[in-house]
Amino acid sequence: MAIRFTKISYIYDADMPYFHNALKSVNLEIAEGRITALIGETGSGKSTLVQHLNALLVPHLGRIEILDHRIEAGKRNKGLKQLRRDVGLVFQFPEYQLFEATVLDDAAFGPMRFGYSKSEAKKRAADALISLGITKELFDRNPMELSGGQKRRVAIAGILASDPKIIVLDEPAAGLDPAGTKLLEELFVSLNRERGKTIIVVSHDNDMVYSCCDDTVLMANGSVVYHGDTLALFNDRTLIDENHLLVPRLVELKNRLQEKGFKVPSSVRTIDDLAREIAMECGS
Amino acid sequence: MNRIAFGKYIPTDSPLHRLDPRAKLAALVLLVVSVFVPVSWYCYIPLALTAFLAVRLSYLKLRFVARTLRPILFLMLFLFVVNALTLKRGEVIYEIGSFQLYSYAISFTLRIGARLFLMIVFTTCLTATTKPLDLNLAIEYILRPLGLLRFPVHEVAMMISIALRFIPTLSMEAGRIMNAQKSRGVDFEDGKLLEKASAILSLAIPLFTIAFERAYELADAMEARGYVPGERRTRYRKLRYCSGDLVLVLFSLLMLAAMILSRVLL
Repeated sequence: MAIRFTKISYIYDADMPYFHNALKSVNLEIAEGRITALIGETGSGKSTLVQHLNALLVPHLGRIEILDHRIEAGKRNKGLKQLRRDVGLVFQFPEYQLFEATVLDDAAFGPMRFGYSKSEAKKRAADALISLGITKELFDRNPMELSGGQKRRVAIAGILASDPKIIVLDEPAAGLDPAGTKLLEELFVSLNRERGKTIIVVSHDNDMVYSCCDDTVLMANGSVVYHGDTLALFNDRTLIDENHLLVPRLVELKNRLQEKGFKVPSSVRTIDDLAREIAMECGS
Repeated sequence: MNRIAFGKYIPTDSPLHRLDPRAKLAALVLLVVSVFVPVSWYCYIPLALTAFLAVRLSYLKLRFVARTLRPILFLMLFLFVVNALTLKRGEVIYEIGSFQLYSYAISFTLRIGARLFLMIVFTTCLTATTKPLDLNLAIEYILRPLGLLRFPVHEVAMMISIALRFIPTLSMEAGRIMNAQKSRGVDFEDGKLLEKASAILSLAIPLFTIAFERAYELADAMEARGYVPGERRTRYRKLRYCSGDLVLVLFSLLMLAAMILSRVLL
């Protein structure tokens, strides 16, 4: 198990009259090597949960185990730097964290903080930048001069450069154009398939969740409502209605085809797969 | 970022929340002046009772008030050391080698501490029960006579209210950036001096960038809504006095008068 939450509760402004109970005794286990989506309405506790993965918030009750790290409520937890090296967190609008004078220095900042030598850090940063499509000509530019999409990719490269085992992305596509979104999707799928990284992605885009996430965690009012197979969730009419989920466009299309008498297996994830199935059905 | 308690508005519906901000501001000024008048220690009893009453009437938790007071403990300690070394009046209480501690050093430190303590409690009761924008209206109202001297009262008030409005926004952004940098291995709490410097830089540079971006956006938004500096503007919300305001101001006036009287007579 990569991550295990045991009865985690977190309260914002606990000593104020307007306190807010953001996580209510959450139990959650996330398996290693999978892509897990974290979905739910705004204010359901997703971001609070994500911050616990880096001990940026420490629970008021409960215990968290991440790889071989432990975070317990009410204790002075140690080894946070190691934890943050193992779990890379990409925040919403990560471009706001850029501050070094050049693109390469900024991407190398994380690995250097985590104890890599300067040359090693720069090598890792360069690799990460190139894997995200930031070419060598841009390495010596000031990050502030780049476009919004480029800035975000530099910021993400800065996290990947530290080679974390678990990568958490909080709304990585917010404010990006479709091409940028597609690139990000392909990136985290390849990080998972080719390099075995455990990926957790917070998202509002159910189409994206449906096409590339193995598992889905659905949150509502500070609790986990569903945790399991993504396809099973979005093909279950009652679960969708109960939680007011937006049906992925592909599922919508599949349902309509089925009404017309086409047989479409529920394992179809992408539009390409669906087209292939239809072609086979028509061919036979 | 949520740790900063001083000056924070607490949205509840207490008796003090319902009073007029102008009355509360006037009362604060009167009470703070009262705090600095008395000479004998028992004059602080009615002031302390007033402070306690104010805390109760604003529905503040004592723990919250205690948090706003924490910073003055350090100040007190520093003050005590300076006083102990410089003030040589009263009786000798304690002696180590050539160093003598005089009673006056202690009583003087305590008195300053008590004054700061009361001042902060009163101020907290104002800021916790008054929305920053209401407070700003009150300041604008009080400064209005300066307009006769061509002082741009309204523009200054607008600047203050914008500054106040952006404190929570920027402090939230600061929290976010700090989290992002912590995730990248920055240690804001401990670490070597050089590391600390780079930690502060990693917070300050992005924060400046955001502040400038916000400023441009706000300027555009204000222009789009037809804001012209110097133009006469009407108000959506009008302030209105109630009987409670009169009671508050009269009470504060009486307190000040009593303190001045005690100083003259005793």
